Amino acid sequence: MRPLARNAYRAILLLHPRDFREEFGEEMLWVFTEELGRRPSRALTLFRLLLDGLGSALVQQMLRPRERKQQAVVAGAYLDLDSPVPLVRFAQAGFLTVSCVSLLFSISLFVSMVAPKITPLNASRWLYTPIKFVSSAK
Amino acid sequence: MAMKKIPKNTQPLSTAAQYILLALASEDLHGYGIIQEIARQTEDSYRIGPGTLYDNLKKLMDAGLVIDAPRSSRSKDDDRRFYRLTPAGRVVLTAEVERLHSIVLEAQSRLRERRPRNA
Repeated sequence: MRPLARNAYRAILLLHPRDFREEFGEEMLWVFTEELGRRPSRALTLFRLLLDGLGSALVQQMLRPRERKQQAVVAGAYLDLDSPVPLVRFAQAGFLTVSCVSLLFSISLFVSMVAPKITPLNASRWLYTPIKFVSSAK
Repeated sequence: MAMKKIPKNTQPLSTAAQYILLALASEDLHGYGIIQEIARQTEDSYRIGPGTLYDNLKKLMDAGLVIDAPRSSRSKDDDRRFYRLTPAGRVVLTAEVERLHSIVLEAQSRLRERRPRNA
């Protein structure tokens, strides 16, 4: 599970701005591995750490650029040097959204497995319906 | 009871930033050391993840409240990055502690006061 978890966290690190990733990425991965190895309830810790990483990526992408811009203005820096291509930012935002949705879906799937009584869907009927439809089409 | 005056430039810190500064107040620590120190201080009731830690560390470093500790202050085999509280960071932490202290005093005095309903 650990290599898979590390790769998942590496993917989350890719969502962070490059300068932040280059400065703290390796350390974040090291802390992530240490935390995962130390905690007894590994699945819950993994979810917590992955959510924490996604939250950090969101903050770095959406909130901190504004602060960096203000600091650059104060320092008299040329702003365009640090501004990424808008398309890249849109792609990153899209990737981040897809990751968040996937993670939420995984969490809901996990919860539905743990507590099947509260699941609104009848899984077997849901699977059976499309099979029946295909066979009747012949 | 009048609240103590707080320096005007100081904005309240986030909980994570408060704990990070507090963890670094007594010694230089690496990232995982900060997390462990916070867990020890709060008896494991508040545990931050690496995302929250480095997001806040970056913010604090940009503000000049935390810096990289020089390598000469630790063993040569240890190539991990250590962080140190700056004098400005200590001033901000002191102001934050005073702010929290004044809130506690104010809250205690208000909770002690029992006003009659139709006064």
